[in-house]
Amino acid sequence: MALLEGHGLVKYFPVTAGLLRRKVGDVKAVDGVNLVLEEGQTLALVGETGSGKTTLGRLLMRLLQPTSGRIAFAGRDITNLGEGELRPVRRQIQMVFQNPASSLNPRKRAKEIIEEPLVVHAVGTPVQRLRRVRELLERVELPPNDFLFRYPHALSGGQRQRVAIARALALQPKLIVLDEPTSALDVSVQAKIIALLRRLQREMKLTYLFISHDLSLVRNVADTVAVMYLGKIVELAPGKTLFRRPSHPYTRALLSAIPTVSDEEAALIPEKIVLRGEIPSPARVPPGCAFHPRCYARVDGCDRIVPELIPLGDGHLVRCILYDPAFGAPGLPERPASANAIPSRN
Amino acid sequence: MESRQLNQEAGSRKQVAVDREPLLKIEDLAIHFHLYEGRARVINGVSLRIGRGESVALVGETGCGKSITAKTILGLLPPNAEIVSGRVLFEGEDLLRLPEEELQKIRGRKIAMIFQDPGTALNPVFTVGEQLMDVASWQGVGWVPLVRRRNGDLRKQCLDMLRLVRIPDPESAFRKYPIELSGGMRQRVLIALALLGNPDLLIADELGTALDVSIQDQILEELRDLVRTRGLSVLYITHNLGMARLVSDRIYVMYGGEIAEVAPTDAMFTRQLHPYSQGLLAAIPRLSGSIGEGIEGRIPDYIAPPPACRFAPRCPFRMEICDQQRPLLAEAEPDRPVACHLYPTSTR
Repeated sequence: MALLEGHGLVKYFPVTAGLLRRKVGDVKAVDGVNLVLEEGQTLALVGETGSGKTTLGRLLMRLLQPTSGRIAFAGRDITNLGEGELRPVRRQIQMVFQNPASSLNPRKRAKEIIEEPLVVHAVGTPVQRLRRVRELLERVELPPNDFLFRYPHALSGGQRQRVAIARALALQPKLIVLDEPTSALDVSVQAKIIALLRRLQREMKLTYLFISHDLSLVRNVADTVAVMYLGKIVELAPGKTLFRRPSHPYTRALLSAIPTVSDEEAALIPEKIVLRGEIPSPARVPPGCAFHPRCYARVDGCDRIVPELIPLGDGHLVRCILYDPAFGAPGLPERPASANAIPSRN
Repeated sequence: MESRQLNQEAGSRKQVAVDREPLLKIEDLAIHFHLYEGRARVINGVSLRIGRGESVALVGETGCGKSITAKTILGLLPPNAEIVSGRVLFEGEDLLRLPEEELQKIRGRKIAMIFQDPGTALNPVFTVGEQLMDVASWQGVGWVPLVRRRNGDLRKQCLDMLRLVRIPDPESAFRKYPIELSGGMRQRVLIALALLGNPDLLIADELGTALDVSIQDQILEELRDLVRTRGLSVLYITHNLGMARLVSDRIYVMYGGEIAEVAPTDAMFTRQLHPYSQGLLAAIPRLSGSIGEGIEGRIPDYIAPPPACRFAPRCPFRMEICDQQRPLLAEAEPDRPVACHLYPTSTR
């Protein structure tokens, strides 16, 4: 069952200039996204800096008001709910932020941090809340007697993130938005946090929206992966399919740039593709396919025609004219044009 | 064309000094920090060598002392650091004993550092060109009077350097302020700055960590090629084993202020000898679909470190001896030094 749906989501931030702060343009952070999160599953949003993945996450949580589009949670339209009406919905949707060093209040102890959502939503008596906090600390594998009264500075990075997760779990939400939950942590700690998140998902039937730039990590956590580029989803597929048959040229290029640590991984990586230039500013999105100035498989028309998401079967969607039946669907060339190809390093 | 000329120059200079002696040799380095809480015994007997034309990666997690090791080489330690013992030999000369004026002749000219954070390492109020020319004039013959800084040669040298690090349209980048460039371009400018003095040894601290993978990958590959064609030696400081695999010839794995294991890059990824290296590699998420369990516990408290092996409290193979005797970094197999009591060579 679909827990959270976004339809035609758009978020433009105005760009102003001059003395009168006249609007001169838009930053198209999210530009027409359709997304469905199935209950109990993990959907990963992947993309580089400026691709709009965090903005999309915040739109879906209603932390930002979309410019247009609709958001539905558990079948109910929440796009235009006021703050008061949103409150019960917010209990169902919680968030874990990227850097636990800055998302935990340094002046509060672990107990107060984890208890806060319960206080805000007036759940239980102080005694009941304390019992709940102890339970939550155990859930995230921190012995309560040791950790209840610690301040964030007395915790390691991994322990801080565990406290942040406990806080997110306090109200027994259905959905947790994880915005780069491990990118500030060392790999040995990251592996433990991921193992914890998976166990919690199993035990509490949680749904995750996992925002990340790390494709190798996403491969290990996501049921469905959405690759974003300049505010649009360019490829959406079940995790295994995406990594076995990456179809959008951007996805392939991203995959080919991952540093690997084993030969079996290297074998999964497409031939080395070096992209031209860098991701353009979302304030100046190129016409046609936004990716065309950097694309190695560019054909005539890419700079004029805005491609649609084209189904390839089994829930695999790709936004590239090369798969469009109207253009004969030639598909992506197996080898990138020689000018941009560099022999694979492995 | 330009790079080939520079390359030949560097090559001829190197041939003069062809010998088996490594370019840089750190011997038994120990550094303590004086903190409010007490004396933190951070670096505990680190030895490391970098041969001519060799790329070495020093890999470890947050707080293992890898950046401190790099800063020691350049004499950039904070005032509360105390070098307790050890030598840092560069071309046979102990950098730790050199007076500041002598060190300044080496810093930037023979050993250069590529700084980590492209957002803060450049001065925001000067253009890229001004910063490059400033460094270039200093790198040349000492102080060049300000009048001569507008010198055409200097400008050309800087533009060539921007071209070498593949900045598109170097003329316009030259006139821009750092904020007008993207993160990737700023990182390239920082590489150009480090290369201006025509150094023999580059130290790259977490290069590209702040950038997106595709840009990071591009920059690393370009730097790797540049380093090879110019015969430079590089010390990469990184927490990312995948990146180390891409750029280095040899890897030092560091844990708790000590070297846990040294191995040629390929050998390291085929088989790791130290339990920490094994755990670290297993914890990396794989595209092939596996992510290990991670390592229990946390890095040692440097004020009261574990008595013998610093990894012992987190080690799945902990034995009695691990809490009694410090393991020696010794060759358990040819060319595979490791400091762990699982190997008889490490036990006295």
